[in-house]
Amino acid sequence: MSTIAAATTFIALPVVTLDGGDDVAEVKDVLYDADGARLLGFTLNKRGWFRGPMKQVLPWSEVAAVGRDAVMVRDTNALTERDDASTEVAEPPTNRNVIGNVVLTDEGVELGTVADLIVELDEVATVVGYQLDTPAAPPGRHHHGVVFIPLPEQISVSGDALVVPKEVEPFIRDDLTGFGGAVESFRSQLKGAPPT
Amino acid sequence: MMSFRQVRGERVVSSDDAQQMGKLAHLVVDPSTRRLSDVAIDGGKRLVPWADVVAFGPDAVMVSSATGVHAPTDDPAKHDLLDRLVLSDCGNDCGAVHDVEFNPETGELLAILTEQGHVEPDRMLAIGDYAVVIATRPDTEVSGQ
Repeated sequence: MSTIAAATTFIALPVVTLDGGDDVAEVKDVLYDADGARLLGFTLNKRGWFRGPMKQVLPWSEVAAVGRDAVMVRDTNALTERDDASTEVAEPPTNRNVIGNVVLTDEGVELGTVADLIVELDEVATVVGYQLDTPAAPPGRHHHGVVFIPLPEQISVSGDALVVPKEVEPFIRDDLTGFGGAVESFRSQLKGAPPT
Repeated sequence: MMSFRQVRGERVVSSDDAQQMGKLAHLVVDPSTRRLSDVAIDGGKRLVPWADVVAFGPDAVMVSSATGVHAPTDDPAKHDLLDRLVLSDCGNDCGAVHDVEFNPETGELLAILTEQGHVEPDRMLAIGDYAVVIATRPDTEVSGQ
C-alpha cells in the first residue's frame, strides 16, 4: 500500500530500528535522482548531543516504513557506507533543489512557487506533485494560499522555472486528501484516457 | 492479574534471611518472550532474576534469596516500560505506556495499556533506547498520514 507525504516532513525524523527500538540516526536531507523524479534515500545526522553529519546514508531500498514520527529500518545494517551505496545515492546531483522555483503552465500562467515536494512512498518513492505557495489571487483564480499540484511522469527541472501542462489546472487541490487519486486521473488524462 | 503501577515501590524481601533488599523500581521485560525477566531494585541498578521471585504479595514481593542479584548489562533507563513512547512499525507515535498488566504467577505480560488503547503483548517487537516498537494490527492503522 502506498502513502502520500510531503518531503520536508521527513527532515529531522529519527531513524529507529525494528529489531532494537533504538534511534540510530536522524534524517538530515532527502536525496533525489538527476531528473528530480525519484527519492533515492536520505543523508543522516547523528542523534544526541554531538549532532553532526554521519558518513553513512540510508538508501530508500533499506527503509522499512516512513511514518509521521519516525523512519523505520530493520536493523543498523540499513545505514550504508557511501562506498557500498549505488553511485546515484553516494554522489547525488547537487543542483536539483526545486524549492523556490516558479511553476508555469505551458500557456504561461504562473501557478506559484515550489514550497515542498509531494512523494508517493512505495517500493520505489516517486515525486508525484508539488506543494506551491500561490501568488495573490487575481479575479477568477480559484486557488490561493497553499495548493498541491500533481506532476506528469516526465518533468523538466533544469533552470529556475518549471513548466507543467495546462491540463493540470482542474487537478489542483487545496489539501492532500485523495491526492493519489488526483495524480492518477491527471496522468490518465495526459495519456488520452477520458477524464474521471 | 497485577499491573506495573500497582507494584511499583513495594518492598522486595528475601525470605531466607527476612531482609528487605530494597524497593521495587520497575519490572524488566524480555521482549522476545514477553515475560518478566527481572525485578529491578535500587533505582534499576540491581536486578533480581525472575527465577528467584517467590510471590507478589499485596504488601511485598518475596524473593527466595539475594544471591542471584546482578547488575544490568545495558542502560537501566530503557527497561522501565511505564511512560515510554510506543512507536508502531509504520513509524507512527502510538502514545505512551500508561500501565502493563501481568500474571504474577508466570510473569507473562497480559496487556500493554496506552492512551490509545490496549496493545496485545505479542505485538511487541523491541524495547529500545528510543521507544517500545509494536507491530501494527493488520486491519487498523493506515501507514503514514
